[in-house]
Amino acid sequence: MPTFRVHDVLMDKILVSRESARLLEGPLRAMTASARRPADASGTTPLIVDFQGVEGVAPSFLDELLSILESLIGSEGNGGERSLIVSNPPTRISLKFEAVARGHGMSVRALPDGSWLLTSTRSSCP
Amino acid sequence: MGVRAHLKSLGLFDVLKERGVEVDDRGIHTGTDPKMILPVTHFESSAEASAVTNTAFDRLQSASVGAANLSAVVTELYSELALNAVQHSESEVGAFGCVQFYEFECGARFICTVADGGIGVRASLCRNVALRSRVSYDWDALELAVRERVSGTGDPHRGIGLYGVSEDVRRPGRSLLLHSGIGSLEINENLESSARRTRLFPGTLAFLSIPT
Repeated sequence: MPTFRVHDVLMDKILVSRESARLLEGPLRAMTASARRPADASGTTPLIVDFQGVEGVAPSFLDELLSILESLIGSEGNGGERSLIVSNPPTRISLKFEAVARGHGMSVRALPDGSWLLTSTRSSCP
Repeated sequence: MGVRAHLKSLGLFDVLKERGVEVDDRGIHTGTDPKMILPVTHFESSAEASAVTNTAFDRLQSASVGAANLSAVVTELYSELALNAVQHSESEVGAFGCVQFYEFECGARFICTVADGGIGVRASLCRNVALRSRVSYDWDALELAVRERVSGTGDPHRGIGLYGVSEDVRRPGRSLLLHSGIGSLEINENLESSARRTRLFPGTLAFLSIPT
């Protein structure tokens, strides 16, 4: 599965703003494009965003990251399931992060290794 | 430490002098105050709020006060208050914030304060036509502002920051005080919020207290 390391792009330990998140869009787009294999054309293969080296994240940052994810998947034109794994999350899942996920039609739950799995909760079909 | 020395250690006099206010602080000695994590610092953009937050985090880590995992908690909450100030206040003087560590008789605490000289929470929410009828008073606006997805922008993805802070302070010993216009709202560990009329603050002030 394609893994994107946030700390390769952003040096800050606390990720705060939407503007910071937008700096990830280009590298994320390039990585997902190069990593996409024919077998993954459905878009169901989860993208892994690794927060190793990040000590804290604000809801605004995560919200913008999910908007970027939506944009990337939308540009693929497949209308497929959206899923994202946040590995090495700097904090525990809390109500504010659940609220951010809800805003994008997604739910978030912790995996046994502590990662977060965000998956779409609504169909993108009309 | 006396009041004058405390205000100087906060960085208040430096901020006033930077803005052309004549302040004679000669002879006020503060020494090194290990409790001052981030003195009163000016910021007026999201990028500056982000930079100030990361500075606060680095200083919290090097100060070695409180539990290690609290550094991120304190700075995450501070960052949301700082972002709110620069994104919604429309303050002509920008925003100011500080982070302190205090050892009170009842225990040690982190104190975060962010203030701006902007339009206030009520006027900000009124930018959203759908909310206008629900915010007759400053204290109404504060009660509404801490709810999920309530924002003056009308953007369905906004309105999480203050909601998140208000949820995170509903833990033992934590508290949040918001003061905007003539309204104030306090949220504490008892899952209660108390909104009331109070004296005028020309802008918005957020005061966060987190025990170690």
